[in-house]
Amino acid sequence: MTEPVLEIRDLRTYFHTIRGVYRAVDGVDLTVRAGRTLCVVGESGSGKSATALSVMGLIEAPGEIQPGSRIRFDGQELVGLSDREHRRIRGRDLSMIFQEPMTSLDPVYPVGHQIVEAIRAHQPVSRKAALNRAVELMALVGIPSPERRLWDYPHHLSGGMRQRVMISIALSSHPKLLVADEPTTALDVTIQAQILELMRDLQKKMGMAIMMITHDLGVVAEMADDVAVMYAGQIVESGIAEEVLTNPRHPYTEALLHAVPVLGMSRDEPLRVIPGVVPSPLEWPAGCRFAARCRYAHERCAEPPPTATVGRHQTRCWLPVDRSIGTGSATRTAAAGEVNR
Amino acid sequence: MTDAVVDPVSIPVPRSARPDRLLRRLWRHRSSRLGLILLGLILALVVLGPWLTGGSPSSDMAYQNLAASLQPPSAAHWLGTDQLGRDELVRLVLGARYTIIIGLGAVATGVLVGLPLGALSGFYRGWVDLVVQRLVDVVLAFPSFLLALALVAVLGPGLRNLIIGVALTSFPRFVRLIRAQVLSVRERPFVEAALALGVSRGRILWRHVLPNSMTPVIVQTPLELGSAVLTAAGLGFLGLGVRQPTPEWGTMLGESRDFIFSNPALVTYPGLCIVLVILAVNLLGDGARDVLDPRLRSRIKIPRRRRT
Repeated sequence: MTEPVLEIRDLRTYFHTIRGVYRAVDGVDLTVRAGRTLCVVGESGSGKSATALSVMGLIEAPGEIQPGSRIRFDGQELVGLSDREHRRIRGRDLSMIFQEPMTSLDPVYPVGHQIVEAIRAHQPVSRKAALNRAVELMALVGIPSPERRLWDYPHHLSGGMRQRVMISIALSSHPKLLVADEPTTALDVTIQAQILELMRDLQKKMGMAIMMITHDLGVVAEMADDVAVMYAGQIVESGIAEEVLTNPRHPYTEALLHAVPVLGMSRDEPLRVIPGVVPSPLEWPAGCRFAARCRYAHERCAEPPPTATVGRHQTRCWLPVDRSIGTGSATRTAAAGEVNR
Repeated sequence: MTDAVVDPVSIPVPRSARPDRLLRRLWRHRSSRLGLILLGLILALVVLGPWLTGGSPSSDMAYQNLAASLQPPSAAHWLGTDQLGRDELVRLVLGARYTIIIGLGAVATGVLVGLPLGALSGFYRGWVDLVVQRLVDVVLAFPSFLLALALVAVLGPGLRNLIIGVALTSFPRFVRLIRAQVLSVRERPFVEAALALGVSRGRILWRHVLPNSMTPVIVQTPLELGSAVLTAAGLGFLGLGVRQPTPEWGTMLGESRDFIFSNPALVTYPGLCIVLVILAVNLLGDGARDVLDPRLRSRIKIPRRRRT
């Protein structure tokens, strides 16, 4: 196991609104290790994006990272850095790509210009050298005849090509960590596969770690070395991807995996949805936040669940604990059987 | 990685990739072409005026000659003479430059003051926004002509004060316009993407937000030019324009109103000139809006029936 590039401990990012304090991220612990990919999965509103933006230092008022939160990146504490100090790291060692390749490029400049701007934001090179580097980068991310594409405006390019440009911008200064916030959500499936393959390929070449935010378990299966499942502002389960996906220990992860439609499923068979909705971040339930939607919920779930650890597999739930002390094992076994089916 | 290292600087920018030349597009648009032609003629008068009328602005025909006052059009004086015997045409031609200088000066000042204020206000929000917007509220609370009038009355007449007075009435509109635009552009994903790259906020405002906010300003500027010309003419009419012998159109209009019944042509000419300028800039403004923002098109074009 390689050493951690990014360690998040007890991250709390709250948004102060008129209606109250919106606790989008409420005590998140995450570790991204060098050269590995961590996928953060969760529903809309679970706090995935707010976590990513907190790491990037892009939380703006009314949002606020609470004191006591720690984000340790490459041996440096990021919480509490001034904007100027943060800016020096952003885009250099720490890069981000976004969900919307269609709108993440400035429409008034040619793409080459924008890659050059990214290069020169952190490296003291001439415009000419930066242009040459831009051509190299575009070739690296698989843009055909890059020296001609250099002067194309974003609207000349397809979504996939634009996302490639975004990736080339993000990689322009050899980051140690690439944060990708649903980079393939806006693309169609074949392009999605290409972009994911490109990211894996580039990771192998450049050795950076990736923290990927997604709600698509297919993407997780494709990309992740490690996975963290997020629900209601917290990580409910985390561990090595293969282990978590094949042997989920948290009822939410299990339900998520069940909700994925499988090819060959009969059309009459209803999709297995998770009943109910995510509770409001204005007032999270006191105990387990998933309890109201959980099929295994029992009385103890009214208390905040402990974290059960088996190796690197961590679960924030009463069930694994209770099972180990002898209660609830029957239901749990039944559940596991269902998953393995 | 490419083996053959290409030198992108030497690669010619393909024609299609160049930013469309605004002027060319305006020329293709019917109403703005008319506006361009009119404005071109007026600008030609501004530049060539003194030369056309015989050397310096103080050439003979522009000076008073009471013996020849209020003459009808003739070969010597194509549009006749005014109450002081000055050639009307010469004065109109020479007057173009004052009107245009005041109009352009006022609008340029309005943009130069309004643009940064509005941009900072919309981009940084907070107390900057509060202060700037309340300032603008105060200025907008006065009827704009009255404000210009009061300012010029206090500062005293003259070209510079006239420009300041008129600019004061136009900058708040630019502030509001650019602020609204910046407020929406700053929320677009490429701003966040630039932030994530470590680009500074000041640079993002200047390089990314402003260029994406300029369209309505480009449309508004010719229209503001029209209203500036009108305000300046109004002030001139009321005797608060440029000082006396200077042939500014509004002032000429004001002076000749005493002869509106005996020599109605004297009122008509400067009035017509003002109308032409305003018409020209409005046509241009409309055209610019159509060209730059098709969503704001004023009319729906109905395809003409094909001739058989």
